[in-house]
Amino acid sequence: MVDFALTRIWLFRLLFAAICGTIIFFQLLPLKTAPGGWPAPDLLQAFTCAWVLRRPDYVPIVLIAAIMLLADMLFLRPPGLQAALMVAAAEFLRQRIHMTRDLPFGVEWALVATVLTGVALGQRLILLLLLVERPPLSLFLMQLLATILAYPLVVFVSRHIFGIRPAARGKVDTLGHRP
Amino acid sequence: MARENVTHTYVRPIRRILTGLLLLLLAGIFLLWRIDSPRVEQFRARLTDKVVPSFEWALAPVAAFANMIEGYQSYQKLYRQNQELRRELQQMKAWKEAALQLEQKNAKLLDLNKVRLDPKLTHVTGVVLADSGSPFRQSVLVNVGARDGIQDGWATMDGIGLVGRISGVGDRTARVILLTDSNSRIPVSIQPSGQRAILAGDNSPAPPLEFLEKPELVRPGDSVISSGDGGVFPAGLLVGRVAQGTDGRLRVRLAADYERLEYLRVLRSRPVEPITMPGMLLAPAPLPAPAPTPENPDTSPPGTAEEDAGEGRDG
Repeated sequence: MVDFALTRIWLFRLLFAAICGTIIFFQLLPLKTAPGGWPAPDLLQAFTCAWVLRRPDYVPIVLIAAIMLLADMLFLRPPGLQAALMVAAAEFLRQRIHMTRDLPFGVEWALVATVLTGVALGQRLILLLLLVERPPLSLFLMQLLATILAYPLVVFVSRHIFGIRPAARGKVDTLGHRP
Repeated sequence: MARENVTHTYVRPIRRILTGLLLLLLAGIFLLWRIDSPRVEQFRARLTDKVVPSFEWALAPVAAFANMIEGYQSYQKLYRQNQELRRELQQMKAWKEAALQLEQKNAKLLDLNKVRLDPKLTHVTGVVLADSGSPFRQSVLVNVGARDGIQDGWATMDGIGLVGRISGVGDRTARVILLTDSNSRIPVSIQPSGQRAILAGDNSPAPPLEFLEKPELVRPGDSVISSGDGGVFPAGLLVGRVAQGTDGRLRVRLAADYERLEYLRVLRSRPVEPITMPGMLLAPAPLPAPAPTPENPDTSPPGTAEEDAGEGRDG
């Protein structure tokens, strides 16, 4: 039983890594090389938040850090900055799982929107303080909005395609607290 | 239950420490990048070089499939498109005729003038592997790199116009910063007025012209070519045409087809010889002037002087 649970956890961790790899792959595809238009949502952030709030044991903090750092490197962002903020955000959300568990989805959505806004603002503030060139504000806000709007869809996909649901209360003690 | 409570109390501080360490590590990487950007950027180029070509096998078919779907959507307008294409073909035939005549004329004139084109202005063609993946950066990754002799700063074109410049070379890949990126600044000149300006990318499809001395001499429709100022770019590459943006600024409609960047040409350019003194423009005299012989002092000097002058003009 214990072995089965452990295998399951590792399989889902692999699945999370695979999903993130696919997202990175599709973002790198040279489909849209001309600028302009609505920026695509940052699905990596949305998936991370959705999974952390449902099954925190499937998304270990090291995995989040590694994926976000890789994304920072490949997408020409300042390396490490967004990764650090996302690690902090994931930890913040992890400590508030019990708050969102029994409340309607709207509350969770608001919480995630607040956290994502915090990450975005923090990123901009740090870049401003360190005098690094920042992306245009309008594009930046549009992407943040797109990510927040995409969040329910990401939750829907996670729940109905990958079967990520919050563990029932009784189960958390046997699965959720495994290091 | 008791045992689990014990593990629970152990787990939480360990998790705290782990998170703290991770945050420190990531912040350290960021600060390192801020302090020593070139080294980290080199590492980034090397990492990209490792990661992106490893799924090259999947990049091409998926991109082709996506383009097919896009193409399928346009089949709905097939008839109208066909009509348009026929009309365009007619115009193109006329243009082709004109182009052939001009080419012949040009070849004759070049021959008459004994112009020798720079043999080192050759190119390497690469396939676009990936784009920047971020809406804030406009760049693409091509599959030629240091092993093909690519160097930072070289100009990149598609078949028609300038696309960008190389910035960041890995072993097998190189990154091209497009003219539309907000970090791109290219010296251009506008024909026929000959005005010099800087083409400054700003994340929009048509980058604006900056530092124009006399904007009133520039009209929408004028052609924009690279000027070669600063010795970074070869001069005379077509960039696009001037257009007036909705905000009244003069912008450049780029000649290269940014919607479909598939194959890019990287122009091998060599550093322009620096001219430090006014006298360096003329080729140095091959030999010290021979001392005039006492017998016939006025037969040889005029001939040699003319030859010298002719060589100086050629070089």
